[in-house]
Amino acid sequence: MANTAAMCDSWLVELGGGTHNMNAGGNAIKAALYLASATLNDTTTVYSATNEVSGTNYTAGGVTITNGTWTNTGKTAYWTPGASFAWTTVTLSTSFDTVFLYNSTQANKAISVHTFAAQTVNAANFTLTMPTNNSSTALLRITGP
Amino acid sequence: MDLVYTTKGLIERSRLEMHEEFEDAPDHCVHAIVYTLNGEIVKRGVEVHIKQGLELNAQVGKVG
Repeated sequence: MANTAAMCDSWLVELGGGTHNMNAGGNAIKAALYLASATLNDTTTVYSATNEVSGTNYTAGGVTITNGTWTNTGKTAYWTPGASFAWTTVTLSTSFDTVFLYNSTQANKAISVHTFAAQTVNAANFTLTMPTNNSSTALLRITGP
Repeated sequence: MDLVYTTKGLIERSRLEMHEEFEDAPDHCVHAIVYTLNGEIVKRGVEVHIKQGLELNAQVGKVG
């Protein structure tokens, strides 16, 4: 099994219901790292500590990110966090390949799963830098017809 | 003395070997800085740069 990058199905439903306020000043959005052996995907509905990484200086649940603000260009609405995600002087010895975004204000409801080449970190920093926030590369993009 | 924090505590930089690793994928790239002591990895820092996020193409139903 493996992790699969996806916008979570439940998040898409909850968008219509107004559950998530991901804009600056809105809900607390968190980012957690998961082992390469985990199985996060579009059907993930809520944060779980199962198969989350563990190690020196890593706190279960991950880090609170800097919210971006949803905006649009033409028919594409897009959103990217306002800063990189950083874990400082961690040791994460078991291979991990996924960051999971979830809404800790709204009962830890899932947002999205993002994968990358499997990594380990030893006594050093792990940083995830964000893509350029535009309609072509933003972290989350929804394009209308 | 220039000391580096490692899995084995503070070690003088001159005793360590350092190399960099790069990986470029379509949607992200990885830059790692690795320190070894006698062939053993004692420090590995990683930056993953997400080049492109996720996109959903929405549809609108037709009436009539």
